[in-house]
Amino acid sequence: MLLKFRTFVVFVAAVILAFGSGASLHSSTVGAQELSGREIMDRTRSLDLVQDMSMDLEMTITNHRGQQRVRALTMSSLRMEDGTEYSLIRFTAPADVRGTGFLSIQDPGGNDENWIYLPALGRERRMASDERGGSFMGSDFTVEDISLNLDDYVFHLEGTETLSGVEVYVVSGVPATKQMVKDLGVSKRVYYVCPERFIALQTETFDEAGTLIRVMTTNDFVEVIDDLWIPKLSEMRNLESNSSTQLAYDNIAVNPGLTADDFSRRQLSRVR
Amino acid sequence: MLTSSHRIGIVLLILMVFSTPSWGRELTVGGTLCLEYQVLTEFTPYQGEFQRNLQLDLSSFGGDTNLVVSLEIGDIGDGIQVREAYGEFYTDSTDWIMGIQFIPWGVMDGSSPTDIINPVNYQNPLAGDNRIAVAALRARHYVGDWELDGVWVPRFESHRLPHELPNHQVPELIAANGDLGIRISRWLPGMDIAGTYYYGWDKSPLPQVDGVSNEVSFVHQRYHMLGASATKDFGAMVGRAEVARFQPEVTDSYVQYAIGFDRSLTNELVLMGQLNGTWDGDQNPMVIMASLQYEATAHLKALVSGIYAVTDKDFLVNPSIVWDAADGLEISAGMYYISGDGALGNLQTLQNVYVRARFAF
Repeated sequence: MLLKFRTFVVFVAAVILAFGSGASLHSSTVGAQELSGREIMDRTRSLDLVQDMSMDLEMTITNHRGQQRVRALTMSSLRMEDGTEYSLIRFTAPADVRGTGFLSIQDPGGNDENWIYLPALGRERRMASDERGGSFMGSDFTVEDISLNLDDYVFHLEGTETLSGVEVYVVSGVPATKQMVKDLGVSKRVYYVCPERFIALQTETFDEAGTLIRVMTTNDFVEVIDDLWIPKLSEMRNLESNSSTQLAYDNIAVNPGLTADDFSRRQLSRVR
Repeated sequence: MLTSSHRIGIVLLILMVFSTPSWGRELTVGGTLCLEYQVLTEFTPYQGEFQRNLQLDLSSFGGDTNLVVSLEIGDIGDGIQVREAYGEFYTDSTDWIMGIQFIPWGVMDGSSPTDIINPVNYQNPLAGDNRIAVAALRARHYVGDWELDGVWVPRFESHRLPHELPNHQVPELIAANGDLGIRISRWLPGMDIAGTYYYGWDKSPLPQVDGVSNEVSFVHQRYHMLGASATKDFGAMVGRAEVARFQPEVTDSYVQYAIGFDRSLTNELVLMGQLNGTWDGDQNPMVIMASLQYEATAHLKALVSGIYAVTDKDFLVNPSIVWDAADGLEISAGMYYISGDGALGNLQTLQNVYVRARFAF
């Protein structure tokens, strides 16, 4: 578990940022604009408005027998003008990981620096930057689900559909190469994007054989700053294992004025 | 009789109780209950033992001042022990920590040569964490990526040995007998480095024979320790290294070193390895430690840990299965197998098969 905290930081940041969105500056209705699949996906990720943010997060994992595990944490992140990204998380539940902290610094070149603070040890510990990792702590998310590089996919606007009473764009994304299909274990993703706010309301993931394996939905959107909407609730259903993971965000603060000093080793060792 | 640890713990508990409501502080209560049944396999017939241990952690956090008291209640007959009891005070660029505390300076996953501030409880050498907290004043000063860590330990505390020694003489509790140490460390891109200096008492007793009476007594000697450590990120692997030169006042100087790594081989498989050694101009003993962890599922993992004493050819193996049964509840089963005639092999009477339940609350 220890080596998967970095995965989790990437995961949490990516979930909330990837599925939150800056609203279209020109609110539109489906079909009113000639947008390509890639242009729609670009808009879902227009997050230049966010420099720093903090939030509380509760993750509930439900297995196929209905048994639940709950992880709770607080998280803060900062993106500097030079491209350096900071993340700091503090676990508050369950009791056996309470007080554990994780600090991640990614420089503009993409190099990671990761440290973990374990209260039982009472010291910070450097971790490997190139950590492998599938799911985190039994969750139904994988890093690949959400840390999506748009350039790795070819997007195509399939048309429009009505989803829960909302007319949405349907955009398919296919990995750019066969090797990527093999590496990711994914042959296609389908996004159902709300045209008003350019938010992916639902994402479907298909395996190499073309079978639908995961469905992610986002709900309960809140406008955290002007034109920036973020889901307070996300759920990933794994159709293979018949399990699900729900993420509930609270106390979301966007651009609260965090600085690099809030992501120092001193702050990591002060994790409570 | 109240020990000084108990007194400090009681004072901090009283402070906590009275300050928390009046200052609007947050009082956190948590801890761990560990139940273990072990069968000692070196005895015929096998002997079963049931062990219980409760760790109760009380913390009062209030911005720039925090109070922490951790109590340990076992069934070994020790009653309530104060595991830690300290106060923290944060100023602009310095954190002050005063009281009974652990001060880890080492960077290794196993034994660290520069981790010499806290003595060790050898009465249960197979315990996961057998450090003993010391009463100390610690100041951690931060300047950018640099940290300057200063420690003063006024009261000597010996390693806790399996058997009480006759004529065991410990340094008097006077100001001149305190330990002093300083550690300078820095985070660099891809690497952490640190340098340490410590002037203190060797916590291992030294036998001393009276030339007239031939009476043996056990004393402690001062030493200077100069050390350095480094941790380097190699992508999928992290390497760690430490070296420390000890200059005792009575016996010859010696150097201890450690080099280790941890590497994630696959998504499920993690390997850790470490070599510890001593250059003392005589036997130069070396010990190899290794651990392989396989995560079968998110809640079930198998581990094999081992120690091999190269010089004595002793070894210890600890295979185990750990099941994360519910949030905060961990159930594990395993065994300790020990072989050899050296110092490690002498622990054979402790080899056992165990089932353990650990509940964190």
